[in-house]
Amino acid sequence: MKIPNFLRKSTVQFLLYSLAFYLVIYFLNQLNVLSGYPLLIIEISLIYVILATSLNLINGFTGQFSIGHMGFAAVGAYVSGTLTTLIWKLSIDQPIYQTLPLFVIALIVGGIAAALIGFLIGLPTLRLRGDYLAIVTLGFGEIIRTIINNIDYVGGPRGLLGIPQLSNFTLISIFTFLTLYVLRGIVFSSHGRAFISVREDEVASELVGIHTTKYKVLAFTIGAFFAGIAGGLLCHLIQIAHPTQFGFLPSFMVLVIVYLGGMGSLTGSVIAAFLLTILEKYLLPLGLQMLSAWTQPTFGFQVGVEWRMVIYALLLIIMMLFRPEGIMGMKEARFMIPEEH
Amino acid sequence: MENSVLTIQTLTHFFGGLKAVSNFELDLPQGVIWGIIGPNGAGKTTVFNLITGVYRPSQGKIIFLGEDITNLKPHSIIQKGIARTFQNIRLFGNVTVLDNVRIGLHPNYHSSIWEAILRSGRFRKEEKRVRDEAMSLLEHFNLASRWDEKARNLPYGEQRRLEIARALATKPKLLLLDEPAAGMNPKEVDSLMDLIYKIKSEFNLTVLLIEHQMRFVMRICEHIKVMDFGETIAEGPPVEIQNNPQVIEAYLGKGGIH
Repeated sequence: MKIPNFLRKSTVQFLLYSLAFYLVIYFLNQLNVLSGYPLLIIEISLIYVILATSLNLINGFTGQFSIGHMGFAAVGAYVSGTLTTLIWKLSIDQPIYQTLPLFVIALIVGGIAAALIGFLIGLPTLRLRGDYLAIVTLGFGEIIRTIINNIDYVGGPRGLLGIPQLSNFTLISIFTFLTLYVLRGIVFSSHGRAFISVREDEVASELVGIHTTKYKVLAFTIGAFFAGIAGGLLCHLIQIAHPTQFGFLPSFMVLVIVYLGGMGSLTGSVIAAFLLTILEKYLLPLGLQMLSAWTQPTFGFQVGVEWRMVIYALLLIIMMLFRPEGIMGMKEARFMIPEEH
Repeated sequence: MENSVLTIQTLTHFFGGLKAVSNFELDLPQGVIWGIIGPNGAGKTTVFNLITGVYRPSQGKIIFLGEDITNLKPHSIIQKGIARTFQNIRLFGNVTVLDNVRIGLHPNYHSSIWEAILRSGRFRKEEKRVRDEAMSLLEHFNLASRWDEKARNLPYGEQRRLEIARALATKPKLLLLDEPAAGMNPKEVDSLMDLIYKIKSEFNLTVLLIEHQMRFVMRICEHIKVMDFGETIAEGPPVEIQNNPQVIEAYLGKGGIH
């Protein structure tokens, strides 16, 4: 059988694969094979895809070491959550044609707010490199968390409660698709090569005429925008925005996804986001339960969920030993690379 | 000077208390190949770094094609038409040979990031133009067959050539070469010389180079400046320099030759 020519186009393939993924999950859900918790895990995986690919633009492609990515997600979550819950007082009982446009607007406003913060964080990166930058971004994440903790209007340490569950599988899929589409468009263009040149050698990059400052700030702005969208989607899925959701540990998980998937590989981030989310939300509780069933009678203690940090650390050590470049290295699946012209 | 490309006046630079460059003067005419020589630590590379804006000079003025570029940022200086290579090769190692040159073409690229996302007609046309230009540059440097290779996997000589190709991608009028012949054998040096002559006439360049290999400098440069401890100790055509006692002293020490 001859494959028609337009099907060979990577952008068409990308569209078809995404659609196939969506339809399979959608029908499995309709047939009641996949619902409840497993579906939630897939939805959260998709949100982590957005978080990881957008962090990859900053860390993997532009070579900056940012470790407070969830701070941006927090801004997006609280801004969109405040709009839908406290200002517009939306509820899922309202007809969808009323809530959906407002929700999308809230998400984008959240993204823009996060992008503004990302721009401001991007500015000190002009002077800071490596560890110093990492400390600034870490500090930033904590500052955001502390500020939220002290704003009573959004619930302070109790979190923002009663957020309407406006996110659903379809909407999350669309936003994930758009994020990947936009990021692959940027990465595989002259602008993308400019980002990469900053990672490879900042001095040489500047000395072939690349405005390195502009591209570093741009990477933070774009990365933060998508993190903000992801934060908005997340809090409208689990119906709560809480300061601890956006602390250092969740940021660390996104960072692990990026490194596990491969710095500078969008495909890798997608794969690792699914792997790690399924590991964290499904396999790990199961495995720890089984482990506890053995340690409790034998040694007299339980292995709780806090042990997942041990698993992450082990995972990273194993990766560094056997595949330091991550699952994909810097490679991309073919359908993630758009045609050149 | 009327047709001078680069004019440098009383250029001085301190690293802390160390005077790395002192009262450096230069008046580089259009279309020449001039050289700067001197022992290690004489301040040659510092002069290049000052010209390209990597350091801000403590004192002095740098004028390129009638325009004061003394306090500009490196990328603006490059965009005005100065390109350079590095003493220790600084390629973008993890990207392909083609992409190295394409990155050099980026400052002359006009599609916005929005057009890249939407893959507009103008964007696609421009990507094609950039690719074609990069390939034709690679052909000039005999690297076209290697376009898909990662830059770090090229042999040394080819890396040097690629670095020059990348520098030319920025469409310079003045090319600064920092020890282009370093680590090359005599045969490679000969072909490098041919290459420099060739690109000089084809791309209508003015060349200023730093080099240690005397055979190379004496044959290719029309005019040489000699630096030692930041000071300019001699300048003139190669023959004069070769017999200048001060130069011999700087290189070999006092009483070296009798």
